[in-house]
Amino acid sequence: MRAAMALDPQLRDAVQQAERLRHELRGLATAPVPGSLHRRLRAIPDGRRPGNARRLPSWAPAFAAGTAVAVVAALAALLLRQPDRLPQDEQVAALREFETSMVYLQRSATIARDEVTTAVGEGLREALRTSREAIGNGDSE
Amino acid sequence: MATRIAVITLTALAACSNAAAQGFFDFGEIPGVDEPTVEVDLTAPLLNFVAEAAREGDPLAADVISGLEGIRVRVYDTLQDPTAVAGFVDDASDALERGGWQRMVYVQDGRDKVRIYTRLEGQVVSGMTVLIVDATEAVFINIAGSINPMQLGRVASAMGFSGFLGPYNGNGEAPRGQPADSAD
Repeated sequence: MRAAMALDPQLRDAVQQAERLRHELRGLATAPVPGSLHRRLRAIPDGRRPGNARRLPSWAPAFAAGTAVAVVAALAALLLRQPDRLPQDEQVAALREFETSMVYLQRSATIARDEVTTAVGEGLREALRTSREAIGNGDSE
Repeated sequence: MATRIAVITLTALAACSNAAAQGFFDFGEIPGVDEPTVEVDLTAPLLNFVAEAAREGDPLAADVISGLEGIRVRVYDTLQDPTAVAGFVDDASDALERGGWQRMVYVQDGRDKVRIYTRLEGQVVSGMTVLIVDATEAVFINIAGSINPMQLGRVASAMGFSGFLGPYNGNGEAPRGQPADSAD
């Protein structure tokens, strides 16, 4: 992970941001426990009272949350980072494939334009022919 | 608490990928054809790389490309069964329209079929699918991501002229499968 961070500034920034967040979460004040909850806890028989269980430190939930955020941020950074270290032949292949895609997109647009122009032209010619015939029929009557 | 944050974060990531996936259209198995003459599958990381390669020469093109999530191209120079391919275009058109894609161009001229569909997310085009078939040839293109059709058209028409890929092509060799009449 350290090696990956050293190589990738984006990953390093994401992990550092997650660590800062974890520290800030750790510094959050503990919320006061309502009296009703205290009473309910006291009513639990001794064998089931959480106090008898192995107690987690108060910052444990914040630490766990921070760790989860750090892991997700690191994963996201790994997934979303740019492939700036692609092998040269893959770089060339990607660029050529993009160029090929754009060439075919442009060609498709040209075909679509020509087809639409032809269809509209034929439609107009047909409409004009029909109109002329109608006018001609009207004159002859 | 930790579980909740993790769930919320993962849900947000899933929502982002789902939004990007809205513009994808899977052509699946295309009947009536052999192997494609041209087959392109560019994913977001590769497109990001292309965008960065283009940034120095054409920052606007780089911005356009960086908004794209995926490009798929299938070109078939010969058709084993043109009727089956034409039927596939009709079926795909129905599937796109059922999926909420908007019909932009729909031409049926004898055996020629030209269909262009776009998918909108609000006011933003998040996908474009092109289906073209005639008696001898078929072209299928799907582009997913945030698309500005005008800007993308500018990038497409500039290909081969702007030269931002020139240093990578080096010997001036045409891209794989480039059609002879692509300059029009």
